[in-house]
Amino acid sequence: MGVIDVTRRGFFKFGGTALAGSTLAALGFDPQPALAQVRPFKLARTTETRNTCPYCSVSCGVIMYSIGDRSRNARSEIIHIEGDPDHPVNRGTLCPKGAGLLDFVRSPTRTQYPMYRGPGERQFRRVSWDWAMERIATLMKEDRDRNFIDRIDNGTTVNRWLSTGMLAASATTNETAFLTYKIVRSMGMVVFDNQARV
Amino acid sequence: MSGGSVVPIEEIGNIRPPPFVRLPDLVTVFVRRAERLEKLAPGHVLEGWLRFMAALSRAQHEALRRLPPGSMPGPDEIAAAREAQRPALESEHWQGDATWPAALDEILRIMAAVNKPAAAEAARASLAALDTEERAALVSRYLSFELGAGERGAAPYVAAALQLYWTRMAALLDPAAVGLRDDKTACPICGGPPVASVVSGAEGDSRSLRYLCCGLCQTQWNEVRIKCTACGSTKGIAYHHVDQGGTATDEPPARDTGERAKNGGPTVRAETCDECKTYLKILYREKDVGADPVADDLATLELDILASEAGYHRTAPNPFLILGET
Repeated sequence: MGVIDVTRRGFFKFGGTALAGSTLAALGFDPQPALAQVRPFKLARTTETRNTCPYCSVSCGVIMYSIGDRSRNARSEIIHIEGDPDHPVNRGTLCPKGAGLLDFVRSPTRTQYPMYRGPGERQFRRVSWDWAMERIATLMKEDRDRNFIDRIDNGTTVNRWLSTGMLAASATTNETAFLTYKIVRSMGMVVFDNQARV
Repeated sequence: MSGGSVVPIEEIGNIRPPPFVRLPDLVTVFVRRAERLEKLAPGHVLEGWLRFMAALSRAQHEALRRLPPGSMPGPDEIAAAREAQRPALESEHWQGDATWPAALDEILRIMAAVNKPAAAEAARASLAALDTEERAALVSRYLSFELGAGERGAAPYVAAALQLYWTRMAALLDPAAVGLRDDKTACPICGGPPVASVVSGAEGDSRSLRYLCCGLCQTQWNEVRIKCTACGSTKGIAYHHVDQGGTATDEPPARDTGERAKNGGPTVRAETCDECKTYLKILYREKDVGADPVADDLATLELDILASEAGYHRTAPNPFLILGET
């Protein structure tokens, strides 16, 4: 016997019949105006989503509030970001950079797609992701073919590539970090750092 | 920007974890509820009902002062409950002492003078006429959710007396003696279900932590946010509020209203879970410091009606609003 035995009673559903037989009606109050008032009303949906602040290696937890219903293909938008009070790292606090994340998300100068400025050109222009990936891969291959060192003077095998480096992101999972390391090191790249140290 | 509070430099890195339970404060709990209901009532579609509930909360506050000494579990019993991860004041093993009939008598006496519908007065008078055994049987039926259709008018009076009985015991407990329970779906003090969540820190703590509020003993216990309080899912959680304008809800407002949408938005939302199709209301005290889990729940019946229509079932009722058969 529980105070309110959910398993026996089932879950609670509000409607005309339920309210007509409720405490409210039994005490002589009329639930009908409440039911009638609701007719033009609608349910509006917001979501709260956990994420990690992208700035540094402290990896503070944040809660992002958004409106709109993604499940119905409606446009959604982040309306507020604050420190996650349940996160063991920051317990709801944020530094000034983290506290300004909403402005970062909405910044008109935020980079949203690859931009390219060729040698001697005056301005950046928008390029496709495929073009950018192709371009990076080509340059990496050219540089690696030209500068890869497989052996040093005394004949010791080293297989290193010193002329290109990589700066990785901070807010990554262990799995992402593992894969990043494997990809970069397997090409012989030695200069490898993480944005988290900024 | 309201991304958080400014933390004094010596506290950086020393933010304490939240206390697991917040026990009720007898001096304020019922009188603040009454004040809240009085504030919500004017112009409300159920104004009479809210005013009646305000009077009942005031009666609880008054009755508290004239409550005879009760019985409490001893240190050994509390320690044993902690060891077994059971609530110290478990309502399943309801026995009661002289406190609750005295609380009921006092509440019924005070409520006699309150202006109310004839049906509410009839329910009060018939409850007052019951003898001790009949009352005990009625409490058992209330607690096990077996009140007959003709008895639902007695529920608010019975609930008010039982709240006094359990709330006083909870208030007298030592929070340090209360064990942290793995099961957060029920009150760690009395085992009752939560009536709503509130998002707010303790006094002087501005963190937006979530506490679940017991409808029986008024204890609040911490649970992480964005998590279903019935099935524990962290997937498919959304927050619904009533849009009175009836305008399309899928269109986000203009960009510059974002802060208003967050900070000026509704105080009460329904935290819905698409995994188990249930909901519990969540109150954002940062938007209205006076928000009370019982009062604001009763004053937002429209949210229950719309959530029900959308296919969500409420996990537990308000102790003062028992529904009829559906």
